[in-house]
Amino acid sequence: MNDYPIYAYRTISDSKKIKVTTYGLLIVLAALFQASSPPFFTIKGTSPDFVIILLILSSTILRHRHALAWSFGAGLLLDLLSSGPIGISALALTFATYVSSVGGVGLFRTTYAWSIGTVAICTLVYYLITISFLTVHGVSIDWATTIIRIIPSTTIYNSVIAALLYGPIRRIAQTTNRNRYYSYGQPHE
Amino acid sequence: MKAQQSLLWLIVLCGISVSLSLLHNNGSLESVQDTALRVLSPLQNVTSGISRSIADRVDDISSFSQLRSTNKSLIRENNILLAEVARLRMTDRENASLRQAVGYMDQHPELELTIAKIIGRDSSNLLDSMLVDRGRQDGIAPGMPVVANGGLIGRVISSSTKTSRILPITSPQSSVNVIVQGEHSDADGTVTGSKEELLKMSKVVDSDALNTGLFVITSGHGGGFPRGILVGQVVTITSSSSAIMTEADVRAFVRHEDVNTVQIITSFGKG
Repeated sequence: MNDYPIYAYRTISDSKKIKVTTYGLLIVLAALFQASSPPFFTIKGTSPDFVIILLILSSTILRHRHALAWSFGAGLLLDLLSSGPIGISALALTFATYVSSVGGVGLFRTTYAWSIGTVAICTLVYYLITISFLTVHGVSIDWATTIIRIIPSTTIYNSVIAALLYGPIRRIAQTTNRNRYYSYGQPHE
Repeated sequence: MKAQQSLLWLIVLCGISVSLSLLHNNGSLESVQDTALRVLSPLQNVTSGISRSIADRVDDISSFSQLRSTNKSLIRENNILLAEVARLRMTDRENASLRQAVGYMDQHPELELTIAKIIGRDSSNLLDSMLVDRGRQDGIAPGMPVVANGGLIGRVISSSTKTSRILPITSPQSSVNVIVQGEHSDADGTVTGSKEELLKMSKVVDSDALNTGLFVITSGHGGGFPRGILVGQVVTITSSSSAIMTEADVRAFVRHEDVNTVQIITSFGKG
């Protein structure tokens, strides 16, 4: 008679594969969706940055170790999809994700308000770095309009979208993060 | 330790990014970017198509309330226009009736006529009467003949101060003394209404003069109606060997259902 639980079927390596595939697909989709700039999401010329939202929310919820690498990859994809200089989005996103990982303490990092606030701060960081580097690259930027109108409205918009996406992303995180499965009473690696 | 590792990662990745941007500035990454776009553009087309179709749906939904309000206002406008068309048609018919009435008055200077508008009809199948907007104060009294479009319609059966009730000749309760104008002689008779479409002409004296297609006019006998008002046209003649008097079906010259304005003959003694 076997007294051990027999509900375990997923190993940690399996879980990692699922997580990588899920996030990879989500980031590619978010980048493609953002690059196609869906008109129904555009309010007075402002559209949300789905990639930033996805990366920062998943970074605050999951606290995964490879957040910076994910951000770099996602930024590179955005650079390739856009006609701008390659590397700028990668740099800005990596830096923004780093900012999201340094702030806060363990107690608050996974809370709803913290995640939304982090998205707002990281949006500001992302845009400031982007316009700075674009200026360095010789791209003409209207700083006044960008700082007074575009950055604040995008920050607010991203925060609102992040507030709406927090629940679904958390659910995805919980689903893909179930790596503590037991087989015959023993942790299965 | 972990923070240091993160910082190291950051520095490395930022370094790669800056290097890539510098290479891009030199034009060294053009082929890489071309290849990447060639691979990614079909995917981008797909997402763009999906987002466009979603945008169309969202646009449909957002414009739905606007379409509904536009539809409502158009329906309202259409109803107003339809009412206006109906009113104009009615006015047109009234004008035609009034023109005919005026023409009839000109043709018959011996008759004193009062023009009246039909304002109601008996909805039951019992009386078959009509209500007009002229009454005692206009000199209307029971028994007065009523004509329209040059033909006999009926007679006034009751009158109040402002309205009068008319019994049409098509009513079974109506009876009019008539003559059929033959080629050589006239045939006297009585026309009564029936529930059927045609009037019944009975008590025909000198049936030899009776023929289909002949006009039936008021005879003036009995003093109820002036002589010579058109009543109808003989359609069929029915007579049997046993019958002493011939009968005929007469089609009324004016159908009271078709008229809106009538002339009440208040006096026909002149002339």
